[in-house]
Order: sequence, then C-alpha cells, then structure tokens
Amino acid sequence: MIEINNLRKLYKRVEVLNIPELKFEKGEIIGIVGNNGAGKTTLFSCILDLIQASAGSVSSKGKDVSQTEDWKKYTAAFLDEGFLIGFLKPEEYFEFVGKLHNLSPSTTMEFVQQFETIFNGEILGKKKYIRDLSKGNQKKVGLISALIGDPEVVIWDEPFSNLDPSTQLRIRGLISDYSANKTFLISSHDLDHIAEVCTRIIILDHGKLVKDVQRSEISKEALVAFFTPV
Amino acid sequence: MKAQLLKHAWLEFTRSPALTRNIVQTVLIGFFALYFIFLMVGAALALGPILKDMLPEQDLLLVAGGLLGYYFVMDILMRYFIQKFPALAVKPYLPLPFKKSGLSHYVLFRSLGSFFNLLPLFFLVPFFFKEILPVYPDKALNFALFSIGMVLFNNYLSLGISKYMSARSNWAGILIIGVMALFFLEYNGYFSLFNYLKDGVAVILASPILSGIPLLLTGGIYLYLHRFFKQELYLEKTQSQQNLFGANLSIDGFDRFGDAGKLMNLELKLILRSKRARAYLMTSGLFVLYPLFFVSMESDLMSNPYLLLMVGLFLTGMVGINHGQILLSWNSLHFDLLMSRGNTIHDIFKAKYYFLALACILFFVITIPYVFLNPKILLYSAVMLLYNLAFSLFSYLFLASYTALRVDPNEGGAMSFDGFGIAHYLIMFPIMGLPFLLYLGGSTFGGETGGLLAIVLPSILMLIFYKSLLNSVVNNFRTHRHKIAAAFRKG
Repeated sequence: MIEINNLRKLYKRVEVLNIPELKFEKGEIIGIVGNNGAGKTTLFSCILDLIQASAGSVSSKGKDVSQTEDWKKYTAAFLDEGFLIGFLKPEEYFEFVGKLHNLSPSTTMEFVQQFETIFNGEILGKKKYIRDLSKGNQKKVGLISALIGDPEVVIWDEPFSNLDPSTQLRIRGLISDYSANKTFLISSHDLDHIAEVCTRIIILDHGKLVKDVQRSEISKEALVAFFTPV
Repeated sequence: MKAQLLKHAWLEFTRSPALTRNIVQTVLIGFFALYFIFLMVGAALALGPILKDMLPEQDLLLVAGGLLGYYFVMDILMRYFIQKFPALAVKPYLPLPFKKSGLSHYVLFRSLGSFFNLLPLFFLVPFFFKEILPVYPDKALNFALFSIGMVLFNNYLSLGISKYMSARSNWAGILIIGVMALFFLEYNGYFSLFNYLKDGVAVILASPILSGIPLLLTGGIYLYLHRFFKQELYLEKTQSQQNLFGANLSIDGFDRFGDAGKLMNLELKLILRSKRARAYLMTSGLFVLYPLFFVSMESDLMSNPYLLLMVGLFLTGMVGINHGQILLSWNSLHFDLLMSRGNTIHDIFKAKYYFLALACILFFVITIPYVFLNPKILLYSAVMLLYNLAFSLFSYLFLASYTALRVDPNEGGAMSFDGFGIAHYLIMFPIMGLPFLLYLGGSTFGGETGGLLAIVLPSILMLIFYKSLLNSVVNNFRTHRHKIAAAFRKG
C-alpha cells in the first residue's frame, strides 16, 4: 500500500529522518513508538506530502505522493489542529469532510452518530465552533473525522494523548473495529495501548528505524524494557 | 504591580508582529503614522487661514466647532468599525495575584493608547495654540474641555458599544444604511447635520459648564464600564462570538462548481465567522459609498475618465484588494487538511477564483443604481469589472502561488496587516496603475472608446485563456507548496 524508499529529511543539515526501506500493507495496524524527536510526525508528514523530503520518496499504491494527488481521495489523517477547521461546528466539519468523499450530509451524520459514546454529549448538537471546544473534544472530532468516507489509509498521530482514560480505551476499540482492509498508522507514547492494539510495532530513534517487528514477535515487557532508562 | 502591567503593555507593542515580523511592514506603518500626523498638523495650521478666506464673514470658532462636531460624529462611526479593544490582553494576569479592580482600570486605561485618541491630538493641540487661544482667550478653556472631553467620551462610548454589540453585529448594516441616508439628505439639501452641529457646539462652547459635560459623561461611562469589567473579567468569559448575523449562511448554488463548490461554501463560512475576515468584508461594503465622496464635489470632476476608472476599480475590486490579496493565508490554520484530504490543489485555486469573481460581480450589481447619479459610473464599472476578473484576480492567484504568510482569521480587525509581505504591497502598483496606463495609451489613438477598449480587450483575452492561466497558477503552487504550508504552520 505504502512504500518508503531511501527517505531522508534534513533540517539545516541536521538529519531528523533516515529510512532506507519500509512497506505498509493493507490490514496492518502499525504502531510507531519513539521518544521526542524520534521522527514520528516527520514520517507522517512525508507520507502526507506536507513536507518536502530531502531525498528518497514515498509512494502510495505505487504512485509517488509528491507527484500525484490520487492518494488524497483514500487517505485520511489527523496529526494536529492543522486538520481541524475552527470556525465550523463539529457537524458542519464532519459534513464537509464527508462531502470531500462524496457522501451526503445525512450519510455522514448517520456514520458519525454511532460514536456518540465517545463524544459524551459534548460535541454534537452543542452549537459550538470547533475553535471553542476543549483540546480533548477537538481531538475526538479530528480522530473521528479521519474515519469518514471509509479511507484505505488512516494516520493518527498520538491519538491517546489529551483524552480521558475511558475515551482512550474506546479509541483503542475503534482501531481494531475499523482497521479491516485499511492501513492504520498510529504513533503513541503509550506502550500499553500500542502493545494491545497494533499488529506491527516500529521503533524510531533519532530518525532511524531501530526495530520493526510483528506484535507476536515482541513481548510487552521487552517493549517497555527498550524504553527503560539505564 | 501597575508598573509591571504597563511595562508588559509596552513590550507587547514593541514586540508585536506588525513591528517585528518584517522590516518593510514596520517601515510602511511608520510612514503611514508620520503621514497621518503630518496631515493632522498641516490641517491644524491651514484650517484657520482657509476658513477665513472662504467664509470671511463667519466666526472662526463657530465653523471650527461645527467641523469638530462633524468629526466626532464620524469618529464614533469609524471607531465602531475599526477600533479594537484589548480586553482579552489581561487573560494571562487573571490567575496571578492582581486585583480585579486594578486589571479593570488597566483595560480601560490601555484603550486610550489607540490611534483614534492620539491622532486628533495632533490636530487639536496646534489648532488650539494657533487659532483659539490668541483670538478667543475667554472661550479657550471651554474649547479645550469640550474637545478633549469628546475624544475621551467617544473612546469609552465606543468601548461600551462594542461590549454590548459584539454579540450581534447586525447593527453594522443599519449603520451603513443610516450613513448613506445622511449623505443623501445632506447632499440634496433636505437636512443639514452640519448646521445643527454648528449651532449646538456654539451653545456648548459659550458656557464652561456645558463644555464640561462630555468630560462628565466620560466619567460616568468610565465608572460604569469599570464596574462591568470588574464583574466580567473571568477566564471562562472569553469564548468567541457565535451566532452572528448570517453566520450560518450557506449557498447551495455553489455545488454546481463541483469539488470547488465545497470549498466555496467553506470560504463563505470563513468570512462570516472570523473576526478579521468579517471586518474586511465590512470595509469592502463601505467602499460601495465611495462615489458619494465625489458627487458632492464639482460635477466636472465626475466626468474625468481617470477618476471614473478609479471609482470602478474600487467598486468592483475592493473584495479582491481586501480579501483576495492574502488568498491562501485565510486557510493557514487548516491548510494541512486542505493539502492532504479529498480535494486537489486545482480545486482550491478554482474555488478561490470563482468565489472572488462572484463577489466582484455581486458588488458590480449592487452599485448599478449609481447609474442614476451618473450613467458613466456604470460603463466604467463594467470595464473595471472585466479588468478585475482578469488581471487583478489572477495577480492575487499568482502571488499566492509563490509566497504567503500565516494569518489567524479570527485575530485582529480591519486595520491588521498580518499576512501582508513586501510582495503584497508591491503588487498593488501594477494592479492600480495598469488600467490608467492602458487607458492613456488607448485614448491617444481612439479617445474615450479607444481608452476603454485598451482595458477591455486584454481582459477578455485573459478570460478566454482562463483555464491555462489557472493551470499555470496550480503548477507554480506545486513547486512552492511545501514552503507555503510550512509558513502557515509557524504560529
């Protein structure tokens, strides 16, 4: 589905990302972990063509993402507030995103309403603009919007941070429920969640890929041990 | 404690983006400030001799008083649309051990640092010492009391108004219609606001007690606002405006533009729901009144083709100049979404072009009634509409495909220049200058018809090649997209 080749990103001659080769397939839930500055968000931004790679390329379905725009039709991401439209109400935002996937407003709302337990009565029908929602509620809106239109690739950057414990568990449930036939990429600092939900785990450190294993090949203890300071 | 607050206010000013982000803008702002000060001081020195020359039989104090009254009426209107009040600037201090009462005084005091309060002083002080004090020593004190009182009164009154009206700006429309009606009545001689003001101010200036009334009223409003702010200064009260008039407007007709239509409805909501974009729209709306400034002048001025071109340029192109110049910057805060999901870059630019083009056409239609004032206004507006659709809009599109700066559309108002870089200032020269050059060239061969054709023909040619122009804008943007998207992320 997604293929990364000799991808390098430098900021003022400091290398922040260097990945010789990496492939993500359909049906995989890939958890990317790494300390601050490991390059997780940089990697996501390259996959979404939001930043220019210094060298190498990312292709989606065999086409270079920086050369075509086809991938935009089947890729959905929520990295940060830059993906939210603050002056819209949540419903309008969902409908807008739905329209981008040629869904009618009613179809979109029908889809979105099933997440009411996650929204906890604080998002739909509140007549608040997204810019006036709390950080946690903004995050819920962004995460759910990335599921609209049944995209084949979903990218969530730190989906668990800023959320209450119950919602974290619900979001974790969503990942398993909605990952069929999708390439699901998430990053997180929460090793527990990653170990619990991902089918494949990738560890980045200072821009380099240091571990790429199937979930079955690594125990949670080994994962925690990897990040335990010596 | 108070000294700390004042020091922070000073730092906020000297470190404000307008003064630090780019040098060209700082220089330009400094230049404008000096220009206005120069105008004010110049007016103060020249007004006396001019009035004595034009109306030798009239009492200078009376006429000047009437003019001042007129100015203060206009001032309150201008403040309503443009002046911003730094109420939210105290938010970070609320959890700190400052007294609410002190913070409230601070908010009220800071509002005095506005352009609107400082500028009239550059007129009033020299005028007072040159014309009033030497000639009317007995009324000088009254004049000083009255004029300073009015500046303060207007400041706090508009602060009060903005606090009350901020939830509903439907008033703006009523105000605009009111001003238009006033202009019309005054121009046609049905009603003279000026005469009423002149007589009123004359009565006031005759008595020190009456002259002190504005100051007294100011005191009253100040105390009232102080009590209001003391109670209202809470962290939770800082929610943004909602349910403004028309904020839920959505135009289904945009859907006929396909994928671009979805983005056009987004643009509409952006304008209606963001403070600055809304303020820009208001300014564009005010420019509809622009020709009224000329009708009150001598009528042969209205037959000057260059003046008519300028009127046409602004009537149909103001939305472009205001809103279109920082085309993509309006979407800074959600640009990553636009760049990665669903729509293509081509959709984005197509939506921007159609939206602005429809706005230009809408303004053209609104101003058709000017045909009753002067049929030529319609002709020249139509010519300039074509020019704006072709040359102006594509200039903004091309500019946006090269460079852009981050803008928070909900920050600032009609007088904020965030998002404008040197290129945005420079591009105004060809946009504003070209129609005059084309006309000049054309008219030397074919008179007025030749001049107008020299503008119309190239514009139509550009519109014929609309598709390839749009494609080259898109291709150009593709080369610069990462740089622009990165600029939008810098908060």
